[in-house]
Amino acid sequence: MRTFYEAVTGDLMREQILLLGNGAIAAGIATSLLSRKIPVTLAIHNHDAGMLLKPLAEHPDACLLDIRTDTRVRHCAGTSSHFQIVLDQKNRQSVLDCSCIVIAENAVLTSCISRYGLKPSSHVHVLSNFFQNYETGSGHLSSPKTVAILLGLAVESHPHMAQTAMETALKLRTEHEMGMDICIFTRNLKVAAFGLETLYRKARDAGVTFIKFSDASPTFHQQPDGTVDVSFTDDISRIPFTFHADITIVDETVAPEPYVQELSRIFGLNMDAAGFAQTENIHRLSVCTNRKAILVTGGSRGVLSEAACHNEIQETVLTILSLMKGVQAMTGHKAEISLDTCIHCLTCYRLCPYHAIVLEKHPVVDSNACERCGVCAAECPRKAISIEDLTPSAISQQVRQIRTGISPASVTPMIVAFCCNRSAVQASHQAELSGLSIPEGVFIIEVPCAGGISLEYLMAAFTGGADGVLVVTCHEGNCHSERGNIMAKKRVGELRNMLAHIGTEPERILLKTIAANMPAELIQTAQDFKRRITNIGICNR
Amino acid sequence: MNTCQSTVLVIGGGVTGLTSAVHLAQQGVSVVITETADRWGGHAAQLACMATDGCVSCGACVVHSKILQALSHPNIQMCLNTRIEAVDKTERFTVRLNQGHEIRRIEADAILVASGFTPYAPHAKPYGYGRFANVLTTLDLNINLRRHTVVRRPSDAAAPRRIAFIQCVGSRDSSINHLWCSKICCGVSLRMARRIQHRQPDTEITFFYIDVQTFGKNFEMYYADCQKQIRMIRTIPADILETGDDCLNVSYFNPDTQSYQEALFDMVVLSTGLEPSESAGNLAAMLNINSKALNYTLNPESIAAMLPESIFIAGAALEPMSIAESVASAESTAFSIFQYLEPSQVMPS
Repeated sequence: MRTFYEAVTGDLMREQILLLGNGAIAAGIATSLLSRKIPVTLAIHNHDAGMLLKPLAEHPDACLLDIRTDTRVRHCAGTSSHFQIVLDQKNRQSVLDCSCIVIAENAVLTSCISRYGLKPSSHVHVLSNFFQNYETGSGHLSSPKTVAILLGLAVESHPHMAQTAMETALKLRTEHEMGMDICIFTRNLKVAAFGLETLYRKARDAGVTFIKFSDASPTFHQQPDGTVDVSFTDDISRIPFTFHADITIVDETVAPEPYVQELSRIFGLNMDAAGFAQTENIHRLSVCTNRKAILVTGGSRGVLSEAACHNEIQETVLTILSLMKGVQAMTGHKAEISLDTCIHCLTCYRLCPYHAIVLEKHPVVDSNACERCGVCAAECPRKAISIEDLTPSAISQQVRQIRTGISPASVTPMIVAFCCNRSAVQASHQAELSGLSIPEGVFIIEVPCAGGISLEYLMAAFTGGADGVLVVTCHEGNCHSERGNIMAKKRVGELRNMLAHIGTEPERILLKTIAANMPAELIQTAQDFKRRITNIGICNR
Repeated sequence: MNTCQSTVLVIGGGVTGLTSAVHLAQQGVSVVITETADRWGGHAAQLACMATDGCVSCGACVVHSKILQALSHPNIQMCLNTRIEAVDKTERFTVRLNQGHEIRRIEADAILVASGFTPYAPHAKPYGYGRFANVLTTLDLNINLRRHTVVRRPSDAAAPRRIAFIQCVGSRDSSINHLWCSKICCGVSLRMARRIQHRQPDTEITFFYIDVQTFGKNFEMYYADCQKQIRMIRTIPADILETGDDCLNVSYFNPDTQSYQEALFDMVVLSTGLEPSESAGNLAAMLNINSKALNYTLNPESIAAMLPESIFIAGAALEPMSIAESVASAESTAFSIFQYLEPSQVMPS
């Protein structure tokens, strides 16, 4: 059976997927890709393939699967059209050609035992593997009477952890030695996942005690035998209590696998504050990164729950299929580097948010990965990079056209508003739909990203006849190019200084951040700015 | 384009429906998407931006690019003001669409229910909603903020100095048999509170709650900031009375002082939860599926197991979901649909 993309590409081996991971999600993605006859190299950094990966060997299309254990990624060259990955298998290096990389490593759970000032003992356990340890004997105690579960007291908890805590309590209470006193000590009980409110009620009705803290915290005193005294003042009754726990079960915090952080550095992926390989930028939903064809899923992007596992697999495979079809490609002219002027300073290579610049003999833009943001063109010190429809002279032309449409007798100031396509332009459409209109004299020039608004653009607006220039871009954290808005802000600041230097009012230029769903603000910004420029006066006629 | 390709009917033009439609269309599937309202984007398209110094990742702005993507895709037929009137299943589905001025019949190979949610209507709660001008829901305030950029009291257009948010209105509530956490409301209210304070720094905000639910990747930091700027009181108020000057007298049990207390506010915002869509019962009947699939009582896996193989459900029709989760659910379900259709179609577009 020929799959659809074979019909498209006719070249099977080029469409190799490099899958990194060793858990249920990696297994699911591999299975799904194999059934579509898509070849997969599965690189596992541990010594053994996990239990879930074992059945893959039995897959009817297992011949398309190459599993390599003890293998780590050392280096990545190329872009989405053609990645070349250096893999290291026990110090033996090899190069793999692939068109897509999926990071599907599990997250790491770290116990909070030491955060609570406790020491491991047969009386103190960790939540995620409590029953495993407890039932296999090492931690089994004869007839414990009291159990304390510490949940989210050191670090804010998570529904996934709350679910495990409540299920553990309920199971102990109903299936194990009956009559145990079980207390869950927590702050905010996280019930924001399917069925947790009912689970909470079920546990409560079964006799599990929930003790919640708002500002105060309990204190822990571990006895020489390993049992723990939990002392606290009850939030409701204000009475001091001490709960002596024969068994204490401690929650865990979730962190990315250290290898994921290493991978993020190798691939140049923007990480979130915790170190997962995906920022909270809404443009990355669901499994995308700042690099085209490098996807991140499940525990590598901070999604934990087992319930989400199936979704993560499907989202990832769907995204791979879309990439193969080329449907997510940005259309339009892409950046081009003029080899006559380029001095190989590699500014573009360092700054491209998408890592779309490949170093061959000269730096070259991979048009497949280029998103037209224009950061490279704006920052190139030699002005060696251009995007055909977005050159400073193309912008200049647009400004002149606007200017010719204005009567020389007009007393309305001419304002050029550079608007980012992903935010301000959409906000202007929303404004129109709700009956608000851009004030007269304010002219929008659409740009793919504010990161491409160079000093030349801004100067072109002024020299072309604008009395004021407005730059409207996305909020910090919402820029598709991650830092395009910050770069625009920097350049606007520079131009303000330059204007002041030559004796022109620096107030003639303003940068504002806005979102697609802020139509009223966009209009207000334009009105306020127009008023400001009217007050300063027309300078250009 | 291949003429004998499959068609999917997507019911609901919110974030979920639009996202699924675009993904299916990109895979070469032909899509008809229907929306009962006269505009696209569902609830998300009514929401204001919650950014303060930077984006706080509420996700509301994504809906606008989804709408543009859907409108510009040649494989998607978009039908506003359209109700599903009848569904027949022989080999394919035959669906009767009521578009007001005309009745249309379409054929489809699979149906995706993306009918979303209905915000809980809090009229029956003792908070005076619908009677007191300055008691709003979070959705009301969102619509307001989108239109006017700053908060004004509905009664006199004055800037409110004291605002109370009341959480879990219609959620975690056994008295109305809503035994679920609506998941999104803590994030909605806290982001809104900080956004208001960002524009109107003198606004004092009180937040009445049961448990603050985690939202977003930077929750810990965001929450720490909220705790500094917002008065957090862990109780749910008993009732609200209106004073002569349109202020609101909120009575509650104060856990700090262990006593009954009253406090005056200029505005009260009810953080209303999510309910299954009001169209859910009707849709379930027309599609001949168990109504439990659309009433928030079963988990998504059990729902998938009880549906016929050609009917799918995604997004907040399944359970309360944030915008980011709805996008994920829509993508995942688009893939399930694609897998179901695959043998019969799938040609390069």
